[in-house]
Amino acid sequence: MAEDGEIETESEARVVIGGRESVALGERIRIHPSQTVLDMAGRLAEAFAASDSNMPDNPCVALVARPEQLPRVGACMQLRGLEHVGVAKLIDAGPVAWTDGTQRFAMVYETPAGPPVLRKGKPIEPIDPRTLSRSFVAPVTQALAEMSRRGVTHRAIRPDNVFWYDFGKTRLMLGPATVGPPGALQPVVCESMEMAMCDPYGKGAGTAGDDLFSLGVTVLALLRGDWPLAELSDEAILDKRLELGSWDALAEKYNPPTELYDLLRGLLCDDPAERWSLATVTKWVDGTRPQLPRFTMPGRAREPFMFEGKLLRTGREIAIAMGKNPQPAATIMRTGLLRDWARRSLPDDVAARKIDAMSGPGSQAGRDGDGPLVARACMALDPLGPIRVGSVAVRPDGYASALARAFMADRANLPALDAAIRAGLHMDWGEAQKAALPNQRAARRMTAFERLGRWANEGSVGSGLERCLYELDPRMPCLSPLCIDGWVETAGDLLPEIDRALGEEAAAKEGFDRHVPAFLAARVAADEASLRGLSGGVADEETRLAALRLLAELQETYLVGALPNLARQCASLVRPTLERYQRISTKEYIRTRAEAAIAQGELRELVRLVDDKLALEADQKGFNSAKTEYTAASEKLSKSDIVMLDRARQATYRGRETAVLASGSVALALFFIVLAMHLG
Amino acid sequence: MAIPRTSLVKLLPAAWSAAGLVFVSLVIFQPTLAIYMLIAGLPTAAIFMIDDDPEQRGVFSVGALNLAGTLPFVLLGSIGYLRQPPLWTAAAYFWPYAGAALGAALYFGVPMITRHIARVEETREKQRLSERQQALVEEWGPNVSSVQLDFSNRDGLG
Repeated sequence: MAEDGEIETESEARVVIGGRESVALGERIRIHPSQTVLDMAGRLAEAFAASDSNMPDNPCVALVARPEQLPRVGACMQLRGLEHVGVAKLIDAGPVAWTDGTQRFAMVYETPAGPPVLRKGKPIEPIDPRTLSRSFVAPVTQALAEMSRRGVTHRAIRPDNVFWYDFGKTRLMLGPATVGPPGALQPVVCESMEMAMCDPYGKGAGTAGDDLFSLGVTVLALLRGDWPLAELSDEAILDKRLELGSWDALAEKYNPPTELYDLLRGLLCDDPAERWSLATVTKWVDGTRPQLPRFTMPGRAREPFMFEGKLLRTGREIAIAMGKNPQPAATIMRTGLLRDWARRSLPDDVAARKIDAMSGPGSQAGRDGDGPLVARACMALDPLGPIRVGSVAVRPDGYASALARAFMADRANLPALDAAIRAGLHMDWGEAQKAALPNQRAARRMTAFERLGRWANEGSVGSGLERCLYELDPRMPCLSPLCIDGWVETAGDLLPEIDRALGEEAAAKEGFDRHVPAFLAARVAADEASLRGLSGGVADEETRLAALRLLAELQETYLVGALPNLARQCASLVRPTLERYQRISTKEYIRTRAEAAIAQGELRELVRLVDDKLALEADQKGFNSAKTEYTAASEKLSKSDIVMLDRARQATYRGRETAVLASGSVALALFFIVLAMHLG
Repeated sequence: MAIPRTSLVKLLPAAWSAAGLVFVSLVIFQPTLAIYMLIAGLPTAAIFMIDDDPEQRGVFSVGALNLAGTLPFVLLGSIGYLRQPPLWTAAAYFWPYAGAALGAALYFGVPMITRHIARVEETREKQRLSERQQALVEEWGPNVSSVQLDFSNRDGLG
C-alpha cells in the first residue's frame, strides 16, 4: 500500500487518499470505508462516503452489500445512469475489492439532502398535501414510469426510504431501489396484500401495481407524519388488513385531505385489477379525476371453518393458516374435512370444485406429497397469494432470491423450495394467476419457468436447485463455497476464484461443489460430460478431459490469466496421454511442455498437448514400424547360427569353384612355362 | 565363374577314353614314360582318394596342375627331345609335384579364405542388427521389443 497518497495500479484497486484507505469502483469512484453514512446504512448494506472524480462537488454514498446479502444486480444495470428527480440516481455499481480482502458489491448513489424523511417511531410534522402531490407524487410517478419503461420495479418504496432531494426541501425523492432482493426490506404495512403474504426474500420483482400500493402507504404516512400501524406486529397488521381491507386498516380514523383522497383510494385498493395503474396515476397528476376503484371485500363463507383453533371465513385466511401449518392442513385435505366445508359454505364455486378434486386419499394433487398438496389447495383458495409450501411462501419470480437466501443463510428452506419446484407448483400458480388476472404481465411471464421442474428433477451434474438459481437470475453470482470471498458473475470470474481456492489444501481436497457445474451450465451452456468431470469423484478419462477442455476454452474466451493450481489439478489428465506416446524423446518433449504449462497455469496448452491427434498418430505409426523392424532383427539374430552355417557352406562351395577355375588357369600357364623351359 | 558342368560331364567319357588310349599306347610303346606318369600322377591319385567333394573339385584342382607339370615331360620324352628319360630326371618330378602342391593349396586355401570372409560379414551383420535393436529401444523404449506395455512412468509427469 502506498503511503504517500498516490494511487496504486493494483487490481484490488484499494488506494490511499489523504492518508485514509479508499476502495475504487471503476475509474471514477472512490469509496471511503472509514467514513460511514449511518442514515443510509441498513440491514442489507453498509453505507460509506464516496467521491466521483468526474463530479468532485457532488457527494456520493456507497451502499456496500453486507456479507451473505445479495443486491439486485440486474436492476443496478438497468437503473445505472437513470437521472430523475423522483428517485435517487445510481451513479455506478459493481464488485469492489473490500478492505477485508473479500469482494463485495457496491452501489454508489448521489447522496440525498439529509436523513430519511420519516422513520418508524419518530413522527414528523405532517407534510402539506399540496407539497406532497407536487413535490413527491408527481416526480415519483414519472420516475416509476421511466423505470417501468426500462422493465424494472422499485420495490423499496416506504417512508424511511424517502429523502429530501435538496437542502431547500422543495422536492422529495425515493431512495435506493437495489440494496437487496425486491421488497426484502419492505415492512408488511407497506406491501400490497399479495406481497405482504410472501417471505421477505421470496417476493420477486412484482409489478408497478405493487410499487403504487407502497407509494399509497408512503403518501398516507407522510400526510399523517407518522408510521402507519406502528404499534402492531406484522401478523396483526396482516390480520387487520384481511379483516377490514387495507384502506380501512391503514387509514383508521384518519380522514385524508381532499387533494389526495382519490389518489389514496386509488392506490390503497387490495384488488390488483382495480388498483390504479401508472397510467391512471399519471392522469391524476395531470389534473384529471380518474374513476375510483370499486372496493369489494372477498366473499365470506356462510359458516366459518375451524382450523388450528381459529375461526376462518375467507379463502385467503384459510390459505394463510394452512400455509403456516402444513401438517394439519395436509390432514384436513386427506380426510376431506376441508372439502366438506367448501361444499357447504364456500361462496367461490371454482375454488370449492378444485378443493373437491384434490381431497381424499390418493388424489392426483397429492401425488407429490403433503407439501405440494397443501400448496395447491392454498392456490385454489387464494389464487393471488404466494406458493405456500412447507414453511415457505414465495412467488415464482422470487424463487431466485429465495433460493439464494436459502443457500447462503437459511438452508432449512431448501427442502420446501425443492418440493415446490419439483412438483411444478409455479406452473400451477401461473395457471391460477392467469385465471384470476388475465391481463397482468406477471401471469404472462410464466414461460421462463417451464424448464425449472426438469432441472430440479434431473439427477445429472449441473442440474438441481443450483441450476434453477442461476438460470432464473442471469446476474446471480456463483454461491459456491470455493468463491465465498469473491464476486463471481461470469464464467471468466469463476476460474481465478477456483484456482485460488484450490491453492488451499482443504478446498483442493473437497473438489468442486454442485454450484460450480450448475453455474457453468447456466452461463456457458456447458455440456454434461464436461460438467461431470468438474464434479469430482470417480470419472473416466474422457469425462475429465472434457472438463479440462471446457476450462481451457473459458480461459481463452474470457482472457483469464495464469491458473497454476487448476493446471496442477489437471496434470493427472495429461498422464494417460503421455503414456500413449511411445517415442521417448516425444514423451520427454511433451512432459517438458506440460510441466511448463502447469507452472504457467496455461490450461489451453495442456489441452493442445492432449488433443494433438496428428502427433499421436505419427508416433503410433513410427512405433509400429519400429516394432516391426525390431522383430525382424530379432528373427534374423535368432537364425544367425543357421545362416552362418549356410553361408559357410556357400563360401566353401564358392571357394572350391574359384580354386578349380584358378587351378585350370594356372595349369595352362604351368604347362607352357615348363614346356618352354625344357624346349630351350 | 562357374564352370559349365554339363559340357564337362558330357566330355568326361570321351576324355577318359582318350586318356586311356594315350596311356595304353604309352604302356605299349614308351613303358618308361607310362611308369613316369604313374609316379608323377600320385598326388592326383591321393587327392582322388581323400576328396569329399561330390563334384570332385579337389581332383580337378590338384589333377589339372599335376598334369600341367607332367605333360610337358611326357610330350618331350615321347618325341625323344629330352637327353635323359623323365623317369630318371629330378626336374620331371619337381614340376608335377609342385603343380599338385599348388593345386592342393588352392583347393584348400581359397575356401578357407571365402569362409573367413563370410564369417566376418555375418558377424558384422549380427552386430549391426544388435546395434539397431539397441537404438530402437533407446528411441522407443522397452515396449518396442515386446507386446507388453511399460508403465514405469505411471506415477507422475516428472
